[in-house]
Amino acid sequence: MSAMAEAGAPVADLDVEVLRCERRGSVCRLVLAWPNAFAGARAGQFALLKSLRPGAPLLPRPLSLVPVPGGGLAVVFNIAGEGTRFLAEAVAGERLALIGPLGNAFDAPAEPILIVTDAPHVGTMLALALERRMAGHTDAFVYVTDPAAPHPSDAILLADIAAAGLAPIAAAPGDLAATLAQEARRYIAAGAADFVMAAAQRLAREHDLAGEASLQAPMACGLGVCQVCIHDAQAGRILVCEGPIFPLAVPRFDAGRGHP
Amino acid sequence: MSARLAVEIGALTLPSPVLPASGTFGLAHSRVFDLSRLGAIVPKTVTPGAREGHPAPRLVEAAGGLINAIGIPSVGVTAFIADVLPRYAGLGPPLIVSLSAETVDSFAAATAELAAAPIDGLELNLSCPNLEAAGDLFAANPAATARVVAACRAATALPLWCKLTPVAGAPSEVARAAEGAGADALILTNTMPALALDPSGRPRLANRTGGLSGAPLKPIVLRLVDEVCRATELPLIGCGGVSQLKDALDYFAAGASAVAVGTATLARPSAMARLIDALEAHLEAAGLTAREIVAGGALRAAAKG
Repeated sequence: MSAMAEAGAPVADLDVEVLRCERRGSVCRLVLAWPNAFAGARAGQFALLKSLRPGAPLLPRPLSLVPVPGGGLAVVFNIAGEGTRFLAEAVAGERLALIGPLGNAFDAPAEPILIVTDAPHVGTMLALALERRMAGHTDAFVYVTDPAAPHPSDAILLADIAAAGLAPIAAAPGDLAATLAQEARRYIAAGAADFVMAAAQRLAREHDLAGEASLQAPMACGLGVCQVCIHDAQAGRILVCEGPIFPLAVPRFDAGRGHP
Repeated sequence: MSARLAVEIGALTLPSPVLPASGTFGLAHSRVFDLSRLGAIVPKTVTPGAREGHPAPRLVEAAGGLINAIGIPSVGVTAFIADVLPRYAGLGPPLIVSLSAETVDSFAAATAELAAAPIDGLELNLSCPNLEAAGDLFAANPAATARVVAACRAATALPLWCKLTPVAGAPSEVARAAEGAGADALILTNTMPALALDPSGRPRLANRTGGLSGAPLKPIVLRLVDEVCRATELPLIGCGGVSQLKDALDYFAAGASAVAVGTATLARPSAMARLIDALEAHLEAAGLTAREIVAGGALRAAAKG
């Protein structure tokens, strides 16, 4: 294999047109004129997107690729800062810088699985849930939300998830362990705050379950070169962009982090 | 690749005057564009021993550029030669290995080890702390610069490109010290030491401080190129805020023979390919070659002196 072939699949770096930008509250859904390189994109993979408007932040933002029921792709994200705010202000016909597809896909089995997420991590896990539902799988979808301090996007996201036929189970942080144990399947796919991920790892250990963790981190190149997106692992560190989907047991999470 | 783009940096002919700034480029960019178009192949900086680098956060956006404190994670020079370097073989452009070390002896020892490897030249990162001088940057001091370059020169006949710092008090003296000790080219410059704070006044980087790169650095480095090109006969590579054709042409006009692109590549991985396209179109429209543009800048710089 040549050095270049060894480096991985081709990555597009293009300016692409916005077809639709739907913003509700702090949730945004963008549909682009995706180039052919994205035709086979799977849940777990992501793109780097950047507004080309004057004043936009320098770096593109990593956003999960989410299948659209009936065909096509979108990115779904929370407006969390300047970069996503600029992207959410895009209008149809505007061009954005698009880099991708990047990252690996989930490798979950055909049997029903347990999907766990929260608002800040919903894009990737929603992608997995939708991809699997479109393939005919019926999974448990646990959405962690704190009734005492809900995320601004919780109500919208839960309604959207329900409208997509995914029947989300809202779990409060205090009920998390019990909810996960009750919904446990042979396989867990989780992308959420550290304390949720630690709980998912504990469940997997105690019941000898396999699974995958979806990680996210501030990122620059997305190609594994700059080494900005580091995450603690059980041994050493990993680069999130070299996933972002990893075996559930590989990353190390702080069980106290993110817990209300 | 058009012959119109070729330039010389000392004894090496570069296919184009656009090359990667160390730390921002890797083999993964072959997923985005044809690496044979680059002026040189510059993998991430290697250090004598293995290093993990700094904790996160390692990078923040600030002042229209970036401040990074990656901490030069490295597998160490021996593992680099065995495991990393073979993957960079045969790409076409000269292969330049960027080396950073903390003492003169460790610079020399790593240079000797790399000299036996199939590479075309070395970039000596002299903008790193010198542990024998209380952590001052090597390139902040002409004598320290000369000691490192002389020690590395004694260890290899390979071209030595010295990457200097923008905070040297006497940059022309540092440049002359590098030239006198056997350097073949100078890269102006590394990042500028900087600090970014969050709204509560806490540092945004885990390492507290980092290096500012990108557009805010360009006018500072451009002035340094303008000054240094009159102090030395060495070819200069401008590095600081290069993303568009205008940036490259400014550096050539100031006296640089090539430009290195870093921050722009982090913002868009195809930045160097786009710049090469733009430069090629510009040269074609003007009926010029890169050698002629570069020579014109050098002549103007000499006239200024």
